[in-house]
Amino acid sequence: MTPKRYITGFVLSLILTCASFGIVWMHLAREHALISHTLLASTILALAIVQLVVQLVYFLHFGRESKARDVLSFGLAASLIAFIVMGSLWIMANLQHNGDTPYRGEVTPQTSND
Amino acid sequence: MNKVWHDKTYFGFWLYILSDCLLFSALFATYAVLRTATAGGPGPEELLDLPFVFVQTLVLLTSNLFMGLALATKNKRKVLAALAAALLFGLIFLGLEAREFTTLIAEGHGPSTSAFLSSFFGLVGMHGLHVAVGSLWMVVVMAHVWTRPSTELREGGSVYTKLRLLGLFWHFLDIVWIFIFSIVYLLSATV
Amino acid sequence: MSLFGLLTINDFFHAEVAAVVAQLAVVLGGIGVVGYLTVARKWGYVWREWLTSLSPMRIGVMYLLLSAVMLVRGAIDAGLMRTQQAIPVEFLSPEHFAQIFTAHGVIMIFFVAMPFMFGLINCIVPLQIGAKDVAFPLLNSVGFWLTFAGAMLVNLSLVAGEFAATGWLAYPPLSELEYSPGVGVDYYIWALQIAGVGTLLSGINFIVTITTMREKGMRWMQMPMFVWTTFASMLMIIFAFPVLTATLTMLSLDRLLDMHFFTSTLGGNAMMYVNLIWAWGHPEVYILILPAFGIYSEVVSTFSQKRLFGYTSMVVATMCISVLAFAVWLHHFFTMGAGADVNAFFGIMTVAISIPTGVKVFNWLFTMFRGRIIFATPMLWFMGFLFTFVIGGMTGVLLSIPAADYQLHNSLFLVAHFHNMIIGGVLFGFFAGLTYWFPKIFGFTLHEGLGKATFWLWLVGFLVAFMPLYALGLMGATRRVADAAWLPIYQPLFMLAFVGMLIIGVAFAVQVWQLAYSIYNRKKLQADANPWGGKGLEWQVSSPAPIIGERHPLGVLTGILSLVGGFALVWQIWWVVILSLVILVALYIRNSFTTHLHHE
Repeated sequence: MTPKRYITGFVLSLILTCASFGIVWMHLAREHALISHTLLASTILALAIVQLVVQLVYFLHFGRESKARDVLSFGLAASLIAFIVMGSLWIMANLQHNGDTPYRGEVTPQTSND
Repeated sequence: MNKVWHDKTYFGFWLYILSDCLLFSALFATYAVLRTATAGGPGPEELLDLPFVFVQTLVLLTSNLFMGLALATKNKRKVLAALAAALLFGLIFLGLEAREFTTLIAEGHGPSTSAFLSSFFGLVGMHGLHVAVGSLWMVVVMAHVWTRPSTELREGGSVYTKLRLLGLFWHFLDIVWIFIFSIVYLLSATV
Repeated sequence: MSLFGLLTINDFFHAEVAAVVAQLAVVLGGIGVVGYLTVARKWGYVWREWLTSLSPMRIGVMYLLLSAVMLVRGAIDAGLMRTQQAIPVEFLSPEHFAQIFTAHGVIMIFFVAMPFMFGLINCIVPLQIGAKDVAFPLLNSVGFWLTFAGAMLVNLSLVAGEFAATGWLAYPPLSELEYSPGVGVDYYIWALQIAGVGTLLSGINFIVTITTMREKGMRWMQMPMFVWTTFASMLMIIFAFPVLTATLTMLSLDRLLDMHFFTSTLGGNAMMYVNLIWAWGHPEVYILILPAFGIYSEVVSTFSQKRLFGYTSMVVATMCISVLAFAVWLHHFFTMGAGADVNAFFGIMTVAISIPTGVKVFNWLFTMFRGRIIFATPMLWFMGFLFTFVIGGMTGVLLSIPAADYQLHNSLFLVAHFHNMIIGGVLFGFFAGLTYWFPKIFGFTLHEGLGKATFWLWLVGFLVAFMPLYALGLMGATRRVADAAWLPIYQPLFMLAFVGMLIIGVAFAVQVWQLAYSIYNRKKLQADANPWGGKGLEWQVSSPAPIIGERHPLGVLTGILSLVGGFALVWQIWWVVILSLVILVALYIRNSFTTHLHHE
């Protein structure tokens, strides 16, 4: 728990934050997109996860010296979060799609003229 | 000095933090689903101010640095100074956020305008509420540091434990913020 | 800011007779308890030995008492519904009926099953791991009192205002302000938010207790099954309850601040609520059943006089269930409109989760095989469970097939299924545990003969009350319908279900009689340390187990302030909300400076 650790963490986080904002700023500044939106999203998310790890390691001393129970519970939480969030997004997107697409054989409702 | 008590308390609080992660996940998922439900109004690309959020991010990060430094010393004065700095930056963060919120509301983009805005204010507001509560807690901890003997700052001491819990909470909030600025501000703005 | 918020004198006047009776019952009940304590001058004793007690044994008994009291209310709700559907007289309006089925569900899950579970856990888990107390004794007290406050808030809805009429999960848009303009849904939200915090805190408490306070030398794979299942259940609580908190928070923001998370206008998505609430709701039912499974493992081994078969596979199955429980939630809304791929995925996951449960059933059976069975009451509860739960489990697998569920969703078949699981599984398990551990908690056993009678009445009553519902569901009968005699072909089965309910009523009466009789004859029924010949550590201490004397008022004060603040939130009496919050925070801040429990 030395000051050096926190300062290193701070600097790394700063770099990663600037990278994220920088990439998006560059993407928005141009008329035509430099990279596909999917690649952009993946990059930003990846940078976020890297910064998460940086802060876990440098600020929260998470790592080889952590107790097994802290690591295991964190792993379980992360897995459940991933499943619930991904699952929810899949479900909701599926519902939305089914709502947007007419059922086979469905006739578009016509407004009454009476 | 009781290391056993410290260990139990830290683990218990760690579990609470994990549960809080689940709370934020539900709000994140809701934001992701409702992001496009702008009820015909402007969406994140138009409403969210990226440079402003960049400054906010740096402020919170700096606050976290000072929080960490408070834990890296056993000198009472230094601890108090670091905590005061952390608190100052935390309050600046809250002030900036309040500014952002009031501006949006004044311009007619309040949380009751659309599902997108509800989910935005809900998620970011919940984070802000946590920071506010944490700030109050920080004041209390500063009072503890001030009034208890310096020996309690040593590993296993009661004040040390309180500092570690606060530190865990504060760093957790910065980690949540990483995802807020990445997903809510950066990604939404680039649709 | 009005002095009383939305509360007016009219809110205390109810239109229906049944509502007035209920209101009087709560008021008179409250006055009765307070009056008795005052007249008999027992406040000092009750305050010292119970309300401020930090002993997990005392806290456990208070949970059990809360559960018993709320069981009466939940059962009356059930009785009212069954009666209306059996006799051709509609004495409950549809509005009122809706409040009753909502209250029935909310009370049974949150204020009967959960407290019953925490009661047994508090009394027994510390003993089983050889710990004197839980990890955070003060937090334990706070957790109980928050649950108590939530329960009392639900009871207060009978006195002033109304309760939610939305079903126990309060789906929007019905639960939104537009379609539920009264305070009913607000009572619902704040009762569950307050109780939910208590549950979460207790979940954390027991994980830390089991992880760090086991007797020296007790390794993970040496823990009793009740401890393992408690551990798994608490883990699920930590990860599931925050989702409930987040979802109800969003609903309350919709109602209070005109937001649009789940409204039907301005972009809200009610289906997201359904998705999130079940992401909590499914783990919740596993939270309830796993400790019951743990009890069965203890009971079957003691009363077969044989070691539990397949301990390792039991542990693995338990932990698998606790993870898989988070992967099946969509099966509660197969009919909401997701595509075949999504439905199939969750259908398969649902079938998958029945496998570890099956492993447990076989392990119990193999424990009994070549054992020397003692047909004591706890063992009877187990055997009744085995029979009914397997039926319920099979109907569950049936429902897990989306195509079949399309026919049966929200029919009485579904109602029969989940009551099968909760009564046959959870309630029977908790009854088994209560009977089994009663001597350890109170120092005397419950009368055995009356226990057996209770069991048989419950088993027969349950089967007669709920098996007809499977048939009714297959015949197309929908749940939550207030009409009496809506289709003549249904009538005989509704009457049969009604008879079953009466048998359950008799079972209740016998249970109460058993308790009263046993208390009266407690000297004769006095138990030694190990009346059943159990092998766990809890049987090494005296019966009753010793009580630790620590006490602190913060728990009960938290409960009182939460109840007052919760009531004020419902009626939007903002100055009371703020005042309660400020006092609460001030108390906790002061406590951090003054209290030194178990450290320094």
